[in-house]
Amino acid sequence: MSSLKIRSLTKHFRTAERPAVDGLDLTIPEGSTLAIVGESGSGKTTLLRMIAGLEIPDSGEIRIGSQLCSDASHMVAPERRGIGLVFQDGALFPHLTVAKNIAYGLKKLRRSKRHSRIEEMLELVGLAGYGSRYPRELSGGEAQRVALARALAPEPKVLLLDEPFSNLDTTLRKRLRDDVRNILQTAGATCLFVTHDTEDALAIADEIAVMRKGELLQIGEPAALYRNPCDAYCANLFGPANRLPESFMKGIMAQPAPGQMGEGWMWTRPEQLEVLQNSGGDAIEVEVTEVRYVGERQEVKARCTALNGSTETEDDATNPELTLYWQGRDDIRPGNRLWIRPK
Amino acid sequence: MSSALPAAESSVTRPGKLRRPPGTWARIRRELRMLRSPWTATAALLALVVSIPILVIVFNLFSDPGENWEHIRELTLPGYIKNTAILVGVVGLLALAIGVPSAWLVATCDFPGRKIFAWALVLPLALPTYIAAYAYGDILQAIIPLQVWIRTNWGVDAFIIAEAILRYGTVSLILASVLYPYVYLSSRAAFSVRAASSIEASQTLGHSIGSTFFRVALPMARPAIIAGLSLVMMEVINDFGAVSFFGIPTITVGIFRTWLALGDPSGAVRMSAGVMVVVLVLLLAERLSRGRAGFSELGSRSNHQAARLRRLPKGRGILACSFCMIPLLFGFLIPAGRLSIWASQSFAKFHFGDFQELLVTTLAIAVVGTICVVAGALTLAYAERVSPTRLVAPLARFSTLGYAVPGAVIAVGIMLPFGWLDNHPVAAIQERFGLERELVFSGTLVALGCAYLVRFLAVAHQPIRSGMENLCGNLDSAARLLGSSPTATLFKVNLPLLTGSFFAATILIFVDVLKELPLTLILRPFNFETLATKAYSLASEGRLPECAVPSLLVVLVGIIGLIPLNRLMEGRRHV
Repeated sequence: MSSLKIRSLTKHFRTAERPAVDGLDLTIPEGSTLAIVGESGSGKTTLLRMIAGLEIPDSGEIRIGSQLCSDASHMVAPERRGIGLVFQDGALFPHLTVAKNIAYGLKKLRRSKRHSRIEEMLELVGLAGYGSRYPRELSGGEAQRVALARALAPEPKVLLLDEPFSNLDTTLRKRLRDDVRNILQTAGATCLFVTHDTEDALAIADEIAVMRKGELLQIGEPAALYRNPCDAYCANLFGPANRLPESFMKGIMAQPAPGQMGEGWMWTRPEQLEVLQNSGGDAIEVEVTEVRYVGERQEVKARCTALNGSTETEDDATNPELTLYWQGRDDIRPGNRLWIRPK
Repeated sequence: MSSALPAAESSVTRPGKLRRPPGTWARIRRELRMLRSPWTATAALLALVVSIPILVIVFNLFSDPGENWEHIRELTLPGYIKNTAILVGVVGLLALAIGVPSAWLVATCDFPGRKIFAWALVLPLALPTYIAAYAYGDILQAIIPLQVWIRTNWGVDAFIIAEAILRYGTVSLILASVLYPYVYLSSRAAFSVRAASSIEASQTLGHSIGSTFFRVALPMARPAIIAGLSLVMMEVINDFGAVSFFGIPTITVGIFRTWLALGDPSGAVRMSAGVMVVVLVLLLAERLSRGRAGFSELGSRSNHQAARLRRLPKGRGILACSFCMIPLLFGFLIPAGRLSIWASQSFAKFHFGDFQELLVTTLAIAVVGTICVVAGALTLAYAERVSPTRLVAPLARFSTLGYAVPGAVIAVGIMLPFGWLDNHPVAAIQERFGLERELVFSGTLVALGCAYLVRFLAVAHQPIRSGMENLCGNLDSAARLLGSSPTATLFKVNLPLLTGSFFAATILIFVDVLKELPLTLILRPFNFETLATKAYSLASEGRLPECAVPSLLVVLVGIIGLIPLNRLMEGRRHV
């Protein structure tokens, strides 16, 4: 395992208006897992493909451990980089059995060792005994496990995962997420994980980076990103976020760096607000506009009445819509009045 | 508070950062550097070799026209052009008249024998045009009484006109009856799969089936029909055996005559260039007819459902059945039947030894040709896949143009440079070392192999490439990241998954090389006979019953070739 260092990496496709990856810097320490979160078109897959050597950067440097893999003057072929990649669709070779798929990258290993390595990998991903099956005989989740085993088998210096769960249904996805986290920890791999699903990222990564339009907006530990987003985009990415006047919210969230947030405003998560049915103390009044049932609670959309007197102005700049969680006994209906205060 | 901005959009642009894509020159330099990658370089080399004949013809256009040219241009050329135009037009119309309705019937109606017609209507394609002509070789003699009657009753002038009409009509009918399957196949695929849901939609909107055909099905199938039609037209231009047998001097016959009989290569080059221009215009017209959106491909393929068949009432069912029977009868059953009868009568006349030699030569050249062409096509298709440069795609497109260029034209384009090589550098070397004067390039199998490569590269390239396009690119990436070089990836991952398309390409080329006539005729080494050239020489000596044996063999092999062709034209997947 090695670290991964990227310096001012840029790729501009000829047909595109702006660079897919724009002067990006990134470091992943040895043995740690970084998730890059971004919507489609943010350049995250291009970044991954450049690291793998499948795409040629316009400029910038990629270092894996001490090896310089790509810079202005030379470029190491993908097969010489020692990188493992798990594809969105698994990309298992359909004409080879599971065992042969895993063995594909093990050509340097001796025959006897190769066999034990395959067994070991199948064991690791919980598919012992599946060696003689063909990919079409596997379920989606099993196929992704095999893909992971295949990528890990040659002991890559860095493991890349490209949306590995996106083709799976929700339940399977949740289960596989936990499994992958355990497998990665067991294998101790340096890992870069690309996804559009923040839940994937929060579940698996040691650190998360938010990518947008070819640039990284924020990097940090999952909790820090959730609680202390640098801007509206990052805030909304990880779940509902409410924008409230700073004077009102004082002391709830860690103070953001000045200038990052728009003056006078602060972000809070719904669970950081207490919702009351009666006025009291410093609570401010809101009017309910929309109610949605999500099982154990009601998700309530509301707007402050106090901010400029009424809910008439549905201008998000001056009177933003809030998301609140209501767990009380009475059902809330649109038009009801509620009061909120920081927990 | 009102000054508070929505806290979104961190549009902080750091100064001094690259916001523009790299400049044109940087890109060109990079593309050129890519040429060092072995696959790109091989593809570039292949493209260069394949485009030699085309380039030679274009460049020779600017050379001094020979003394014969004036004579050719004034006396013979107008006739060649007129004959070719008439034949192409009439055969094209006939092919449409047979191919489109029969495709519509088979694709959308249920009538007696439909399932058999669905594949049997393709059978005429197994007959090369020249063999169909030989099978009907004595037909003009059969109508002599009619001609005599015309002359005695209407006079000599009427006889001359009637004779020409009968001859052109006969040849057009023969050609159309074996070439219509190109139109049939492409329009059947369009009707039964691509247009199926639109046809049903039109009917639910209250249009009769007739109105649906003209307002929905036909416009939607138009690009496919034109694609099939352009293949028919190119085959007519390419044909040498049939037209020369019936004495209709088309431009291809003209090229042969100017080159071989008049011994005037520069005249032949000029005519070839003319043909090439016409063919390129045809190709371009076909491309343009597909329109902006390429609407024949609309919708994702997996959603296509074949149309529900409309059951025809009994009387109309029999009518449909007889309509489909006519082209099958004239395009396959009658000629194949006649050849079989002749063959059984004349088989005894063949010496077994001669026959064996003929078979061995034919198979050998077909196998060698197939290997060359398929290997070339595979290289080109794979280079397109792995090469990081954009240079390869246009190169590939250019080097597969050869399929549209008539065999006679390619032959001219190969003979000129190869003849020059033999006359100058090779002769000099042989003289220098006191070797016996021998032809190394022209009139040898090298020339023939190159010619096959030029002519058939596209035929093999198309299925292999579409097979590769259906293979997910991630498979290649996965193999690379697991340590395989590009070449190893081709053999370990791509080829095992491409067996279907690879097999299709191999069979197609094998059959095409085996039945190829004009190229082989011009470029073959002295005394070198294949089944095709043997059939040609026997037929041109008027020994029709004897020519039936090699012809029938070509037809039998041709039937095997229909299997992959049928699948390809239907546009089915090949993985």
